[in-house]
Amino acid sequence: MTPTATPDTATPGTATSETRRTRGPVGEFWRRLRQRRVALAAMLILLAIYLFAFAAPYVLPYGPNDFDYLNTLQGPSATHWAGTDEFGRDIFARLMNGAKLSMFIGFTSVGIGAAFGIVAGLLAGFYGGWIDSITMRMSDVLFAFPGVLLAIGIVAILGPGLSNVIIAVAIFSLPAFARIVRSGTLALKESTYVEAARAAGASDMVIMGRHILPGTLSAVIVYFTMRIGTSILTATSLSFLGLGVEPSIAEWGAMLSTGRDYMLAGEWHLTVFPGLAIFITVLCFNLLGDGLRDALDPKLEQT
Amino acid sequence: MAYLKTTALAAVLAATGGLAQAQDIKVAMDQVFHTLDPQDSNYNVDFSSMEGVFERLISFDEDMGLVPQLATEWEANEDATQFTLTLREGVVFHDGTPFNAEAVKANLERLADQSQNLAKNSMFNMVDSVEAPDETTVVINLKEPFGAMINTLAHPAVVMHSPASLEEGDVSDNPVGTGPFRFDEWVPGEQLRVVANEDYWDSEWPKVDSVTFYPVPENATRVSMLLSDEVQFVYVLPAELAENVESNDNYEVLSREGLTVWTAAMNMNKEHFQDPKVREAFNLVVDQEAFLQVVYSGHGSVPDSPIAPNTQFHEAQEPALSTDVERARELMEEAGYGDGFEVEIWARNNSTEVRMLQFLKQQLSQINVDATVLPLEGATRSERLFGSNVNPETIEYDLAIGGWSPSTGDADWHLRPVYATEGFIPAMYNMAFYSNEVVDGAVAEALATADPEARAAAYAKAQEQIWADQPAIFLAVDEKMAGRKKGVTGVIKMPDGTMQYSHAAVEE
Repeated sequence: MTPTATPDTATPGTATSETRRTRGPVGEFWRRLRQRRVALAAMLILLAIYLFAFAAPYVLPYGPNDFDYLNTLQGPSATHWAGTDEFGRDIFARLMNGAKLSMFIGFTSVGIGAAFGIVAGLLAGFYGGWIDSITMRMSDVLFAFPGVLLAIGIVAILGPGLSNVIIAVAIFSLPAFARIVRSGTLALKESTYVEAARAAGASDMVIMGRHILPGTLSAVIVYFTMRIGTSILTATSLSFLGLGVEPSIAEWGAMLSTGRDYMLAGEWHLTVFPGLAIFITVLCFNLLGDGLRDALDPKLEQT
Repeated sequence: MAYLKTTALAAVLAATGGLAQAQDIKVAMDQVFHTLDPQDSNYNVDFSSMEGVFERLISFDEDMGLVPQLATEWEANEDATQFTLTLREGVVFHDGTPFNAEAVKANLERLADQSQNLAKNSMFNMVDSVEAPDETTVVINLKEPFGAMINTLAHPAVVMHSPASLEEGDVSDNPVGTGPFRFDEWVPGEQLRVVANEDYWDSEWPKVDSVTFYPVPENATRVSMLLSDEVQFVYVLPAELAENVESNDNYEVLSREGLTVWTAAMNMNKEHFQDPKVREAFNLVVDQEAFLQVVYSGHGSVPDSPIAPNTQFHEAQEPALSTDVERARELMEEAGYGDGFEVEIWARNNSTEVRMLQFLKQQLSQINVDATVLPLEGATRSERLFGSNVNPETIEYDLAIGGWSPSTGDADWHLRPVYATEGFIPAMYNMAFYSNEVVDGAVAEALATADPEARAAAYAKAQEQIWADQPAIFLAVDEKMAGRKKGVTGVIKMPDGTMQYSHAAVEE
């Protein structure tokens, strides 16, 4: 999906019904997405945040771990855009590092969860029987726990740390993907073209991989996007509780956690900025997910 | 005239109101309570909450001076092997059991009984026998001389349980003492309540009807509760929020230079810390002034000895701690660690210690030491350091952050558990596994006599040796701070970090 390749991004909503017919599925998707301005704005904001986050080390004069004991707890100023923390570290630089980290955690954890979930869901839906029972009962068990609690439980077993947080969030995303793909598979495996493929002698692997999986992907993409927001929220919650990344790492939840001690003392910038960062990012991923859902749903006609 | 009338009326109303209304003092504590049996606890919160319920034979005044409590007089024989105490008469426990020499004997024998496995057993392993020749006299015979005995008896853990309650079995949630307050209820994690004991032996006390403790681990919440009058006392006021309390006319900050010395013990079972140059480098690279600023917002002082200035027999040491990163790098180079090494640092996961961890990690990076920090939940940390299956040879940490305050006020209970060979964890608190003949000798020598001058000389020798060997990074002597609503008296913060509330009162 390369939306930026489409030439008329500057004039959204001008597509006519004539041009629609000539578009492929990607073009059709893009046309629908452009009409969801909120989702588009969310996407642009996310792009801007992450572009800046990756550029930050080359642009900002301070690194996220540059200590300066002479300038601790400074409010926002021209030199320190978001002020400094109790160690004199530049909060803006830390926020940018946190953005990179949150994206890394979000994509890898949901990616791992999605990969395993898709395979499990495909097998369960396609073969049914005991494979289906085992897979779905296991995901029922995982569903029975409230999300953050499950993640806390997993971290309690594995121990804190970045990689364990990713594993925890991945496990807690897995059952939802399995269910989504399973239900899609159940519907698609009865369809005529799958019957045809089977009649033509295609193997199970080919049927699942080439004929069923693509049909479930639109739901997966939507859920994937929304899940990233949740996953960032879960990961920051874990760090806030001291179960996530090592406290010295510039991560939003950890920053919020250490900053709250100073909130009552009037040092608002230690908590407000990381809080805003989490808020904006998670909101944008959810809005983008909403837009994607509308754009990808073939049943929804745009108004 | 009208003015006078109204104020007089107000005064009468206030006075009658004070009589009719139950006086309840509410206290926000920084930790949950572990047990209600101080004899089996290592935690200041437990000692503090039970201070009004139990009494000790000897207690401390606000400056850690010894004052009589259940014992009115005490004396030692010359070689500090036998101590004789005269007990207060007319004291009864909350359950009606009379307080007498037999009760003291039962308690001290419980403390000295190794099979009971009490947390404070190690303080009493030198007790040979306890005799009760008559109702009001107790004689403690020791296996070996122990000059710090009287201070040990004054430790807040050495409380007198009712012998009847000890016989019944579990006293960890059913404390029966002789204090001005009796235990009412404990809802673990929520609250602990004690109510006035009307039959207290000193008819002047108690002056309030009840005291309720709430565990509130969150620093800002605790302070907010004080500022919104939900509680009248905040036990452990975080330094960074002291200003909030101070700037408000209705509240006051109680601040004492503490007895706690914060250190990062260097695990000498690890090869790199056996080299004195490495240990010196670690002390040189850490900037203690910056540490105070970052961790305690400037409240506290830089240590000048292994023990705190307010601890009995403290001697300031030379040279004072200094920071010299260049010299530290040279020392590491000479020791063959120019490229540094990796270390693992353990601490608790409260925000103050997490700040310590981050600070140390950054400071050590200046000598290429790459630190992995591990903030552990309090109970987990205790289990991993002092649990019964701890193996000193293989324990993982390189540096362990800890603060030790001798609640006896005496140098012995700092130097012996933290720096003597017998103090190795898991038995006591020697997390550096520091073992030195001079120190062990001096500590033993000081215990062999009750003569203050001889003890002072021996402890001076021990402090000098430890200061030269630097088995730990010396970090800070903190200030013990608490927040209190103005008008409340008698609820106080002690230099050892505990609080007292026996003499709580509310001024109208």
